[in-house]
Parts: sequence; C-alpha cells; structure tokens
Amino acid sequence: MSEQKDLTLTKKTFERLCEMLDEQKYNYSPNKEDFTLTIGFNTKDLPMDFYIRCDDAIKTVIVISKMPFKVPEDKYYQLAYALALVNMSLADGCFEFDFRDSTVSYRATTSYLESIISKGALEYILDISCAIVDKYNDKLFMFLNDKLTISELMDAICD
Amino acid sequence: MEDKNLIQSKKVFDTLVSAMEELNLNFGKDEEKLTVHFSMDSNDLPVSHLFTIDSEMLIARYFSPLPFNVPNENLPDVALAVAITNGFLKDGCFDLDMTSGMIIFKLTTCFQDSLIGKGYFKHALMLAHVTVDQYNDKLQQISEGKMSVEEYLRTVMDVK
Repeated sequence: MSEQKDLTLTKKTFERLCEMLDEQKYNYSPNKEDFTLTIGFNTKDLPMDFYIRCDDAIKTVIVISKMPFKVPEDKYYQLAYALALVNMSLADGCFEFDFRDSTVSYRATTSYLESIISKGALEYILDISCAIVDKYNDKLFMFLNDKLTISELMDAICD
Repeated sequence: MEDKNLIQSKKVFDTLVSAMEELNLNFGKDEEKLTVHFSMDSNDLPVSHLFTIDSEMLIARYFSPLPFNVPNENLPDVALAVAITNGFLKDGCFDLDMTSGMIIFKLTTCFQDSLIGKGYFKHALMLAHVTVDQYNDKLQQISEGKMSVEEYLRTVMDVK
C-alpha cells in the first residue's frame, strides 16, 4: 500500500503566496503541481528573475534569483571575496556560487514547518529579496568586470 | 502600552524556550534581549548555538560561530570554499568575516503576523547542527592550509 504524503500545509502556503502576489497585482507563472512559481522584474539595470518554491520536504519557502551573468574561472577568488563582504552585511538571505555552471544566485528562505506563515511574511521575503538583488546584481557584475573597485563595492554595502 | 511587535516577539521567544526545554538542553537565556545560547558536542569540533528574536524586523535568527579564526593568508581559499558550500545548502548559509576571519553559520525565518511552532525551532537546531558538523572540520582544514579548495570539493561532493 503506497503512503500518500499530506501536502495540505504546503498547498495552503503556496495558495497564500499566490493570493499575496495577486493582491499586489504582480504577474507571475505558477505551477500548482509542484508548488513553484516564477516572477520577473525589469529594473534600471539588470533584470531580476525569481524562482519561488514551497519545498514540502523541509516545509520552507525558498526564493532564488540567479544572476544574469556567468563568472569566468579567473574571477572565482575575486567573486568569493565580494560575496563574503556582501553576505556579512545582509539582514536576510545570502549570495551563493555554483561552480558547476559558474553562476551566482541569491537565496532567501522562510519556514512554515509546524507554523502558519502570513501573507505579510511572504511579502517581506519577496520584498527583501528584490531589494537586495536590485542593490547588488549590477555591482557584482561591474566588480567582476573590473568596473568597480573593492572600496566602491564596500561603499555600496555601507549605503 | 507595549509595542505589538514586542508582544509577538516575546511569544515567539517563549515558544523557542519551550522547544529547548522539551529537548532537555542545558541552555542560557536572556529574556530582555530575547536570546538563547548553548553548546553541543559533535563528532569533531564543539558547536555553539545562539538564537535571537529580532523584535524590530520580526525575524528569528540562528547563529553558530565556528571555533576558529581563518588566518589572512588562507582567507581567499576559505572564502571560495564558503561561497561554493552555500550553493549546496537549501537553508541557512555560512558567512565569512574577512576582517576577523570568523565563520558563522546563520539561519533565519520571518514571523511577521505568523504563528511559529516549537517544531520549527527543533528543526532549525537539528538542521543547523548537522550542517555545521558536516562542514566545520573541513573548513578548518582549509583555514590551516591542510586542504586545498579542490580537495575540499572532492570531500564534500562525496559526502553529499
């Protein structure tokens, strides 16, 4: 006899997430089968694309934004230095590096394990992710292309 | 009249304390700062745990500082290892302070207008302890120049 997973909490969290986005009048593409959605924002500099997943295995809402550039191998150490500086300053989430495809992503999470997470908390996690990615995506790109110095990056962090 | 955020934060703090009591942990707490702290043994390095309830941003934060500081000459390798390690994690991340050489594992969740159960704190503690235990000794080896980033990657990819 196969065991059916109880997806109620994940389904409800995903529904709440979609309701929040509808109320904010955002355009997004949901996948109700696997509780994921994608949402994009155009900005003054680099576009921002987000992938949001309600992960049933760990009962966590995971927000990921992959930066629209790859990191050349000779810039790995430069990137790591920049990410260390930026991550220490973040109120939430972190930038991470995937060496398998040389990409940088921002990731933020909030848990709904044995918890009822509000639309306010879901709005917060998206808002802060947008603010952080918008602040740093272009600066990381410029830093890796030697168009921003380390002290300019540090000044940006302090702003 | 007490601030609404502070009232909610105190409730979350009480839930955190109850969760730690149910785990029979020997912990210290500060009811004014809304923090809980304790240490646990592991297979290799001891693991320090600190939970704080941020009543301004309404975030429950967890920190575990690793018990060593990275010397300047090995900061680049550790920084790269940390950046790559964070890419493996589903939740939480390691931060490296490039000034002090301290590495801290952190985990957060927002409780704005939300109800957080004891189960979350028990899960957060378990996840953090397992994650820190998995990586702390290997990061220490890079910090001491005993392991290259390539060797570190081979080791952690084997364990994953």
